[in-house]
Amino acid sequence: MKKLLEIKNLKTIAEDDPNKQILKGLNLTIQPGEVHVIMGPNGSGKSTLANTIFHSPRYIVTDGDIFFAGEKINDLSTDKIAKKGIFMSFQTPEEIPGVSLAQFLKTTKHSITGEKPNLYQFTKDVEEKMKELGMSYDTVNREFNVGFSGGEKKKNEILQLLLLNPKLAILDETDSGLDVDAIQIVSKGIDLYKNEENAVLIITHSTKILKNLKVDQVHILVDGKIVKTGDSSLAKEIEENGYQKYSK
Amino acid sequence: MKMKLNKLPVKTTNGFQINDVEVEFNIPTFKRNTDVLIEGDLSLIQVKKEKKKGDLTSKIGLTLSAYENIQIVVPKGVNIKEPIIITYSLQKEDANISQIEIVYEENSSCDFVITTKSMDNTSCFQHLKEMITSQKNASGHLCFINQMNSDSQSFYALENHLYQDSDIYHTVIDLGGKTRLYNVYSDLLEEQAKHHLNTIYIGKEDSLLDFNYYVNHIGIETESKMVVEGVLTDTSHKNFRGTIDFQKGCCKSTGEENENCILLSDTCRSRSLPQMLCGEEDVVGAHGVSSGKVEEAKLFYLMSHGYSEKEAEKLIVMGRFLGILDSVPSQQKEEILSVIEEKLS
Amino acid sequence: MAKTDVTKYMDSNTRNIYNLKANNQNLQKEYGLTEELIRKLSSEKEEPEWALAIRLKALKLFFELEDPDWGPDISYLDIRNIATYVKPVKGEVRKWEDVPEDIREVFDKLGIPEAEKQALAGSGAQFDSEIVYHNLTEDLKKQGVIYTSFDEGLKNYPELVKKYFTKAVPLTDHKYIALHYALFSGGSFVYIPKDAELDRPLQSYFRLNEPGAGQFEHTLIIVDEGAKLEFIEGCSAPGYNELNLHAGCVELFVEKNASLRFSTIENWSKNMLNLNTKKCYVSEGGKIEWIMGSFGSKVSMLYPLSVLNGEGARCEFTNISFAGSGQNLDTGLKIIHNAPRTSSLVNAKSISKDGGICTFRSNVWVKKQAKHSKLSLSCESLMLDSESRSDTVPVNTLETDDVIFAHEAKIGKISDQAIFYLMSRGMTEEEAKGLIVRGFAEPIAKAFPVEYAVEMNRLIDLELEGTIG
Repeated sequence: MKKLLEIKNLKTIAEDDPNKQILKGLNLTIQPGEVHVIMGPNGSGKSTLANTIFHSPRYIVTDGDIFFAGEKINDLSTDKIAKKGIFMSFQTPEEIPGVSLAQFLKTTKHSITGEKPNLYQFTKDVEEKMKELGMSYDTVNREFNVGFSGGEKKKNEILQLLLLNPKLAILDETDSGLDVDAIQIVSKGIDLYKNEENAVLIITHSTKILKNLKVDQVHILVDGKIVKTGDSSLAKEIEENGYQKYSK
Repeated sequence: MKMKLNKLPVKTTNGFQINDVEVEFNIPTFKRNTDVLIEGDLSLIQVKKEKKKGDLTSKIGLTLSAYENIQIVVPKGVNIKEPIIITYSLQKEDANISQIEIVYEENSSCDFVITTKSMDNTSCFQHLKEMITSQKNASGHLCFINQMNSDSQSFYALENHLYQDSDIYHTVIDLGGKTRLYNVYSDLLEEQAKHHLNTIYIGKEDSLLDFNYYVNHIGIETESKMVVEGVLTDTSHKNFRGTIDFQKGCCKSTGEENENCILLSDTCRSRSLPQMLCGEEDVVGAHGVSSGKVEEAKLFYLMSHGYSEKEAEKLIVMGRFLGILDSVPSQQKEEILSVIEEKLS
Repeated sequence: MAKTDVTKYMDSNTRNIYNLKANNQNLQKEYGLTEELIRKLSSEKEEPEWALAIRLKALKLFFELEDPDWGPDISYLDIRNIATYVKPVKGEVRKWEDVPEDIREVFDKLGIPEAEKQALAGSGAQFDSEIVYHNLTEDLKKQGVIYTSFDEGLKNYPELVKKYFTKAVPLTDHKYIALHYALFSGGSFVYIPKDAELDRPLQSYFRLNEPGAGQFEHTLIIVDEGAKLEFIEGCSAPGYNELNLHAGCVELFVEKNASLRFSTIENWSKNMLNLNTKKCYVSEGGKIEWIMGSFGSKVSMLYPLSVLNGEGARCEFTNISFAGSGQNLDTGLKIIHNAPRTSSLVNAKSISKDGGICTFRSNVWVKKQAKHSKLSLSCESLMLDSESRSDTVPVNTLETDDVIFAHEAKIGKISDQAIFYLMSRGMTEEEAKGLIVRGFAEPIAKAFPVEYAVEMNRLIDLELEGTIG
């Protein structure tokens, strides 16, 4: 089977602190149809990984490669990476004052697909997906994320995931502030999105989010490296014993 | 004579009447040296006091000759715990023309409290200039307290030259004088230099208060903050000019200014120009000003609890001042509090 | 209001439309600034004697007054090089068909006649120094509404004009208002009678076509007691290498309980010195709303003044300036609170890019008698690079304690993290910035009539493309 995402020996430093090595040789392979989870203590480099895949200006790759569907993507700009079919749900999504949610969704759909969405069909899609996520349709007239609660912002991220339907979804859930409600939204979102062709990479430090999910692989990330890979039982073990065993 | 003083660094429309302030005063003839007392642990710092014949020029726009100079050097690595107290006692129509030069060498720290005080009811004059140079990683809190009587004129100028990682904190407590002009000019020359400038003023009777504060952000990641809290009553007039100037290249700097003025009479006048000049994209600048009378709801609440209107006003004004007064050394704070109470009564 | 499709002309080559140059052979063009020229101008316009007297007095003042010693440098302006009067041979008409073909073509492409048909109660069009077209619907004429060129107003309603002319903006205000009063030509005269309400706006469009020319139109609007008016001003010019000068003047009078919404979208070419003066007197219970979008000109100096003279008078001021390469837009406002319970609400934004300079300059004065007044001012500046400048110079004066006053200002840039977020949603860096800038301008765009909001967004897009016209 063709690899969807392949990361080889990835090393990164922070843009504002070149002496700080964050990822120290990370390897990861994700096949279509799989659900992967990366867990690790605070500061292990989890969020850095998600941001590096998306070529965030905050991190610099010093070694290693990232391949997506067989194509090297390290040097692509963030928008080109998104257009290849990768989506990232942010732990703290940005607010864009003066831009309505409706306008934003149209623009992003247009950007990703390269063609203007059929307005009638797209509106119907938005309405349907919002209903499934328990969002009020009136929200489309509000300014993007401005004044949204944490839960509303999270729903908004999942809404975009469903509308853009990428090949790979990276869910950065490192924010510990997630309440039960938000966790349910993420779980539901994955449920609605997941199929045999696409894949999910969940980045988290808590196991709560994994309760109702069928997970293929769990990776433990400590100090910039994956120190152990296993199945969902590994997550259980972490829930019981924490990371001590894997920390130096 | 009349002179236009305290000029804005960048001129705006003349019709706005804020480019400068016109002040009437007599250039004093030098009669005697004002008494000055320096107290505190002077064993580790160098203090030199001398009379100078030359001109003392300040950014207020005044040049006066023959002055007394106090030069203080806080040597490298020296940290003085208790503040050094410098007190000018003015009497018998004194003309205090003085300069205090303070040099903080690397990694040093020392606090100062500089007070000018009227000792009698005579009309005195003061042109006081402070020159602060802060070398790498030095820090200090300098507090200036003006307690001159309501017939006196005070011209106070402060110049800061702050180098890498230095952290200078200034508090100006303006409690007296008929005419009082303040000029603060700060160069944040190198990376992470920091200047905070807090001011409290009380304008009474027909006094004129004129503040011209300027912060020049040159180094990267420099930080400035101005907080001005004041109250005006009777027929007092106040001008506040606060300029934050972000020079091109001072990336990741932040500058903030806040001015709040409470007007307690219908005949006073408050004018403000919180100015931001910005030639660098990567900065955060913000200012806010607010003016008006004491919030009615608060007043009503206190009066319903038995306070008279005057007492309630006083309490609310004091509340606004407390944040700034907290940084004043406790010994002086008590005295200032009682003076403020008296002024507001 | 019906939606006008001005946008159909505004595809990818919008800039070319603003750049259309009419090849007008049939015109009379005068240079210089002499008493002789001014007398000739006045007599050709068949003006009353008192109007000529004002011109001559202003001419003298112009030579006496100094250039401003603050703000942008305009010392290179030499009035001898400006064509002070440019007149098309054919006069003002009431039907678009009668406008000379080359001029009509320009207005056609700008969508002006189309807009009139669909959304306006009346419209006027000025080409260089003279109004070439003016029209008002019949039912409004019957109601007693007057909407003519200023010259016609002076001829047909001399008493009414005389009562208000120069009363808001005196000759002595500054050097370039003196120049204006010496040379005024064109512009509009509007009178809305008591309690009349216009359901659609009036619009005047000003086009400066000749290279090296000056435009000195005078707009005088009186909204009588209880009446309501929305007035729209549009300005544009093709780009030339020679310096053009615009020294217009707007005098507005909002009488008791009347209201006026005055919108301007200004897209002068970048060889224009825009030294414009606007003033409004508001009586008891009246309201003035200023909505301004400033995109064009090389240098702009414009600070509309609102004098709140009657109890309960209100002022709302909404402005956006966008300065690109080579532009110095020095704009702002003045408000005088002269009566009790007056209120003002200010929302000003600016964007600077590619070395452009934006200055917000304001003077707000609450007089002693203006008890129980409320003021809220907010200005926000966005800098898109470090070649540009953004200065905020707000003066506030309070002479009474009984006032609620708040002023806030912010300067900043677009956050890198916001750009990263949008790029992760497939937008290029340019698209991401564009979306954020449009969002920044949105609260201002919303205040404009629909078709102008569309034009404003197009202008923002053009500025962001970095094309310089």
